[in-house]
Amino acid sequence: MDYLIEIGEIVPLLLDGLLVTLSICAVATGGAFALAIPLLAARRSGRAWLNRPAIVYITLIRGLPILILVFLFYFGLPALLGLGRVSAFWVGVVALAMNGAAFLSEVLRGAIARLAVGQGEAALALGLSRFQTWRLVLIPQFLPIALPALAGEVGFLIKASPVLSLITVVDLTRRSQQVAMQTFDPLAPLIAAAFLYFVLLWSLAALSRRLEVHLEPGAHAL
Amino acid sequence: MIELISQYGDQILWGLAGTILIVGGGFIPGALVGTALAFGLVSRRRLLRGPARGFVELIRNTPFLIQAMLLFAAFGVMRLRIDPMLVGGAVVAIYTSAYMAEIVRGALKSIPAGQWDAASALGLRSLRRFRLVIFPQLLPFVLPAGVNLLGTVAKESAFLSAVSVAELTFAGQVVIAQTFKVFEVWAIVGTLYLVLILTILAAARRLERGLAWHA
Repeated sequence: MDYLIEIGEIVPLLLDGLLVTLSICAVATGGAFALAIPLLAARRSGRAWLNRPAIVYITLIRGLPILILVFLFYFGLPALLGLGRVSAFWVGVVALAMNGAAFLSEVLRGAIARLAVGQGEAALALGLSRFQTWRLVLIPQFLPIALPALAGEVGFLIKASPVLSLITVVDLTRRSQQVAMQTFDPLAPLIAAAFLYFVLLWSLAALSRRLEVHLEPGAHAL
Repeated sequence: MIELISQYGDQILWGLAGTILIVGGGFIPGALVGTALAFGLVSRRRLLRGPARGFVELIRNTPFLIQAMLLFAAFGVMRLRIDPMLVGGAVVAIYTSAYMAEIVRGALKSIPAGQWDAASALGLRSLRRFRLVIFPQLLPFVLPAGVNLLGTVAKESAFLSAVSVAELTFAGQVVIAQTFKVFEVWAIVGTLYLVLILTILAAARRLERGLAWHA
């Protein structure tokens, strides 16, 4: 029990690390969604010069560990291009966003593919514009389908974020190591950090489950 | 580049061998434990279900790097001197078991209760019922998803370099320390990961197509 009390005392020391992790994940998630939309459009395009590069990009991301991507961007590219120091925070965030975008666009593509092609054609036949077809017919249907998988990908982004601790960003993971050095306790700060990651990811999953019920077509009518 | 490969190529290939050894050696026991855990997850007994669910959620909701650091720190505190390769394999096994448990649980839930009842009605009991009726129906879902998981685990294993396990990323760092060829080494290491992981993912896709007989 004494040990649990000690872990409780360490949590406040880690809070600024948690804040850094939260801002990394928030900016990277926003960036990932922003990148995923044009990527999805390119991937779904019938033109080879648009969908080929998208396929290559997605394949590269699927096959590379995020750690290698981050090391390539943070150490490799500046060495190749003869740049000076680059911001570890922004390099890491961009890598996380680029990584996340590939997976998000694949999730969205899968969800769209599951909707009958007829839905879009029917909406167009009813005289809805392309934009209205997406906003009123397609998006309300595929968002609930895609939501658990989208939340899962955001979860993977959060779980990948400690990679920034390996390029000097003082996020929750690196902060826990610093506290371990200061307190001469190698275990308690790590357990506290694991606890905070758990709370973060668990809340995301709970939020996704609540939204899923809320967004289900027909949920409002009930 | 050619000089780099001829001089340090075998160091990097040893790293690749380390990655394959740790990932393979950790994945197989992890997948077996995960399958056993799945039966805990669907068990009616709360004493089985509770701890199984707790373990799976704990692993699935924390980063791999934190899990690796924790296990290494725990062995350090206990003053156990164990080969880092072995601890790395254990991290991989623990991680695999939790994700595998969810895959198998999903597959088990997709099998209608009537299948169990029908097998019983045919006089098949427990292990034979599972082996002859349930197991063949799990495979088309579990096998591709499992191989996909292997790909994910191979990607995550790069984090083991941060706790000094002699795998591919770590080998890259060692070679960079000797040559200062930062970009070239990460490009070579990245290519090796790419070949390894895309091969695994391609196998998963083939299995998915080949086994989807009832789709």
